[in-house]
Amino acid sequence: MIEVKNLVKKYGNHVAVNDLSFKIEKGRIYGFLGPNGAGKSTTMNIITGYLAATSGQVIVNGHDIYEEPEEAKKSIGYLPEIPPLYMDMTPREYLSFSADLKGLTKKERAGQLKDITKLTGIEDVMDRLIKNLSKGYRQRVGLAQAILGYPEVIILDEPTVGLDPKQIVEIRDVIKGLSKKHTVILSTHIMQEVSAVCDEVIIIAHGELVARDTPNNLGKHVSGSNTIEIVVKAPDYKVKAILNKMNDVTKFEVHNDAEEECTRALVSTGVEKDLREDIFYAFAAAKCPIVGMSYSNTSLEDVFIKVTSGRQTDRRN
Amino acid sequence: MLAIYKKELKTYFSTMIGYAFIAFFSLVVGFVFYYINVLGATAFVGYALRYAYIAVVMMVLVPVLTMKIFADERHQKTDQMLFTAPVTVGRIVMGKFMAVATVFTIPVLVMLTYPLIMSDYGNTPVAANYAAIIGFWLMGLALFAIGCFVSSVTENQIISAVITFAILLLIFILQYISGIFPTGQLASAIAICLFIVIFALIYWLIARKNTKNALLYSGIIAAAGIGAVIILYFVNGSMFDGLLQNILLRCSVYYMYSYYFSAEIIDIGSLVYFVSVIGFFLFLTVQSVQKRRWS
Repeated sequence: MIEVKNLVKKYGNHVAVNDLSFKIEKGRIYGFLGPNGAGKSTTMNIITGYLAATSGQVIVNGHDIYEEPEEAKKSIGYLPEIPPLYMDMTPREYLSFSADLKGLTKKERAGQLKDITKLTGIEDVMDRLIKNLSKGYRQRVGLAQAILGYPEVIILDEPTVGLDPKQIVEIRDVIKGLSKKHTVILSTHIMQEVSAVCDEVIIIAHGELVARDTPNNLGKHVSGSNTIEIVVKAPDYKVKAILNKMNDVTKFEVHNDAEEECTRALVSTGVEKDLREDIFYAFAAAKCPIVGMSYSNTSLEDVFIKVTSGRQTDRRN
Repeated sequence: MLAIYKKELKTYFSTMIGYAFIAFFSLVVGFVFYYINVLGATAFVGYALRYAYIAVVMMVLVPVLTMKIFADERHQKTDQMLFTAPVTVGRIVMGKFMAVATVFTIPVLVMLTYPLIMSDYGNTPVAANYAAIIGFWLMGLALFAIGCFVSSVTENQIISAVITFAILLLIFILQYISGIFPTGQLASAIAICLFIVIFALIYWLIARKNTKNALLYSGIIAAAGIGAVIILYFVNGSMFDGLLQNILLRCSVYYMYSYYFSAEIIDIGSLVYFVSVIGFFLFLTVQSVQKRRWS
């Protein structure tokens, strides 16, 4: 659907996007994550043909965005970070203009306008000036503009910014509904949004791809992604000795801050394996009773912070 | 292209600006026509249209109409919508230019009645009158093309308006100040050489990042140009007589109008001149918009 190959974008000496390559498959929702200034918007602007890359290639639906820009742009609908709205127009005028610009026929336009305004919930404000609309409604008008013409790929740069919680849920449902017919790429800062909406997550930092996976599998990219907290009735040297012998433990920390005669340990493992049973038997064999055990899967936030901060934490203390 | 044309035209007439321009411009031209042709009892409308009043009014009105064209789109970020739509930059520029041209054409259509009014009073050179109006129309479009280009360079409407005004003022006074430049053969030749060096320098500044040996090419351009000037100077020195002044005068769109349409003739050369200026600045506009994507 979309293929990005070795994309580089430099602003003077500053490298905004550095050798980025990825492929986007049809009919899925992609989350584009990254800290501020990671190059998300720049990448989106390049894919949509607004900016030109310093080097590299973008192929949309089999058309190169530089060589056949018109064909490539036909299959993209784009909602930039700041919705490109003409303040002196009403949403009806604005969407009609957008439809003309996209080359829709009169008949297509009438039908689509009706469906899309209903979908985005802007029917009631169609004849008010855009400058008098609230931010949430402006965002929706921008979204309607991106959907208009039913392009195969819809690219949304932070679509839920400035919306109230109810609207956020509504817009998410709209986006989910779109994935039946369209491929959607959306960038966001909000982690719940990723787990709520996206089929696949692409994390970039400093203009480079650092991780790409489904939201549930992302934990794999961080060492010690599954953490088990145990409280053992034994001195800390004993706990250390037992844990050191276990091969599947990738990292552990021992603290003496638990109740008397007890040691608290944080044990990290690879994502694939649940070590709770092994730990239980290991400590049982050493006759060290485990008085408490809890299990936590690494949250998406942790993954995000860890993979974007550049280097990963040490394997063992 | 039609979509953008329609939208732009609508913006001119959904705000006051389009009506204000048409009313004010028609008023001024009508007054000058009355003053020169009716009170002055001259039968050629070109005498009125080349009057400095009109040039000064154009100097103010052209920036007002063109300042928003690209600068505001960029400022409001709406250009992201235009340039990600399946429309080429050339068509966007054409659509916008045609819209502003349409607004300007309306008062010019009003002017078309002037020769008819005059013909009521006696013999008038009808063909020459209409040629003068068409010439004036093209001159105006050339000024609008310049304004269009300036607007594509900056993000700020006010700066765009001020720069456009400054350029129009410069080409207006160029016809009066060209006399202070030397007319001698040697002086002209040296000035031409200077232009060539500046051109080579500009080429180097633009091309140095993308082209290998940019310095070498610009050196070749400079050397070849200066060589040609020296050879021409010794072979046929008389062609440098007053050349500098002539070139400066040719840069003044107003002068070109008053020069060619002061006589009651239809001058094809000047029509070509105005069309070239329009084409050149629209081309520059497209390039300037395209260039922004790369920087």
